[in-house]
Order: sequence, then structure tokens, then C-alpha cells
Amino acid sequence: MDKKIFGNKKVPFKVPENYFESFQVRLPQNTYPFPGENNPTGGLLSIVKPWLTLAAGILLVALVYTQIPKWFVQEKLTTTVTHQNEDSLLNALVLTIDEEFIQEWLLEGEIPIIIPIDTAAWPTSITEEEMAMLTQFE
Amino acid sequence: MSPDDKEILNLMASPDKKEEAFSLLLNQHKERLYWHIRKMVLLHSDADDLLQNTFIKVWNHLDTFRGDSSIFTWLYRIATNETLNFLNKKKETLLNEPGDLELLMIDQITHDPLFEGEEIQKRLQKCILALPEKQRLVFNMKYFDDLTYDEISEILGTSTGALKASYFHAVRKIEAFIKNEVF
Repeated sequence: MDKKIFGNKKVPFKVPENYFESFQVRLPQNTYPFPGENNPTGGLLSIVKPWLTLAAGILLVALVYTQIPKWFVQEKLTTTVTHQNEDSLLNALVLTIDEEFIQEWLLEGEIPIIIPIDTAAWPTSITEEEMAMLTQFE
Repeated sequence: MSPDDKEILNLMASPDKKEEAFSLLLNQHKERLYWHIRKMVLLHSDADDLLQNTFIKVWNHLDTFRGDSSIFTWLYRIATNETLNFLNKKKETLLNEPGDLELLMIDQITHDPLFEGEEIQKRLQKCILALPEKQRLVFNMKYFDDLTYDEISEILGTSTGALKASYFHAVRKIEAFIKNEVF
């Protein structure tokens, strides 16, 4: 072949310094482990690892969907519970209090209506206006 | 089969000697395989990746090698397949424009700090890049690696007649490129 065209057959490229010397050292460490070397559990871990990652991902998504909405409605939920508690308390109190006691308590401090003892003094007939006046409470 | 191949095959036969066999194989062939890959992909970083992938495949399939061909042929075949797959994937990423990859690689030759050739060598590399992939592969293996047609035939699975024709066309094209100052 004409050397003027094809040159001296030398490959016109070079490699970084110590490339070939370091290649053998780099290969097992960076690309794959030799069996039984460095990490004896590497095989099992390499099988389980993708599944663990998947499970962790699903768990994370579930937490995000269930917990984050609760943070936003936490205050509302607390208020509702308080109201429910107040109603229950009132109902319980109602059951324990005597009705007569409540009536007495309501009438306490009221101005009593003075009705003449002598019924003879009562008018024999009473008009509607008089009745209204008698029964009017201030 | 060479004595080296026999020694490696004997070591490979016993599982506890597999690493030793692999180390021997790697030491004997890594440089030759590197240059074979590098001449096709040109960039050192790509060649380094592909050489590592080649040896990972060799390691993973070490048990399946039965010695029907020489170890050298087997390694060359793996490295060649890795390289051709890499180039095809790279072509797909370049918008499927024919010739894009060649233009990119010519540009890489121009700016590659790891290119140390003279101007005539640079021109020759550009001419080789302009060849169809298979012709380029055959030309590199025949011209630079000094492989026989029988060896190339075994590696590429192509008849020697087709290889001779391919090489002949490659040489003629390169001569025409240089004479017409295409590159």
C-alpha cells in the first residue's frame, strides 16, 4: 500500500497514563464483585434490594396520602370532638338533676304574687280586664 | 489452540481457579481488544466503557466457553458485538440522520486531545469514518490488526470471499478520498 496515502500503519491515538496498568485493578472493584470477595452477602442483597426499595416507596406514598391531609384538618376534628363531649356532659347532668329542684331554683328570687286570703273579698264576678291585670307579671 | 489457551481452559475447568483464568485472559488480550474497539469508536472514554462491558460479559459467560474457537476469536467477537451495538444506539440518538454519527466522530478526531497522529493519519481516519460500518471494521482488522481473512471470517461470521471484496472496496474508496482531497 502506498505510504503516502495510508501513512505508517501506526494507530494515531494515545491513552491516559497508566491506563492499561490500572485497568485490571479497576475492573473488579468498579464493575462487578468477584464471587466470595469483599462482600459475601452481595448476592442475597442484590436480589432483595429492589424489592425493599419498592416496598419503601409504596409505604412512603401511603404515608403521604394518609398523614398529610390529617395535618390540615386536625383543628376541625378537635373542635367536633369537644362539642360531642359537651353534649354528652349535659345529657349526663340532665339525668342526674331533680326536676323539682330545677323548678325551685328557677323560682328563687322571684317576687311572689300576693293573693288576698279572704276569699270573701274577692269579687263575685271578674271581668277579663281585671283578670288580665291580676295575672300580669312584671 | 495455543498453549496459553489450553492453560486458561484448564484453569477455567475448576471453579476455584476461575478468577485466575480470567486474570490471565484479561492480561493477555486487554490491549489488543482496546485498540480494536478504540479504532471503531475513536473516543477513549467510549472505548474504556466498552472494554469493561466486554470483560464483564466474558466473566459472566466464562463457563459457557467450550473452546470450539480460540479464546482470542471469542473475545474479539464479544468486543465487536459490543462496539457495533454501541454505535447503532448512538446513531439512534442522533435524530436518525444518516451520516450524523460520522460527522460527529470526525469532529471528535479534530478536537480529541488523545489524538497524536500526523496530518496524514488524521486524514486516513476521516476517510475510514466515511466507509460503511462493516467495511470500516474489515479494513481496521485487516490493515491495522493484521488479522488473516480466516480469523476475520471466524469473528464476523462472513465468508472470506466477501471479506476480500469488502477490503478491496474499502482500500479503493480511501485512495479515491485522498487523491480527490475529499478529506
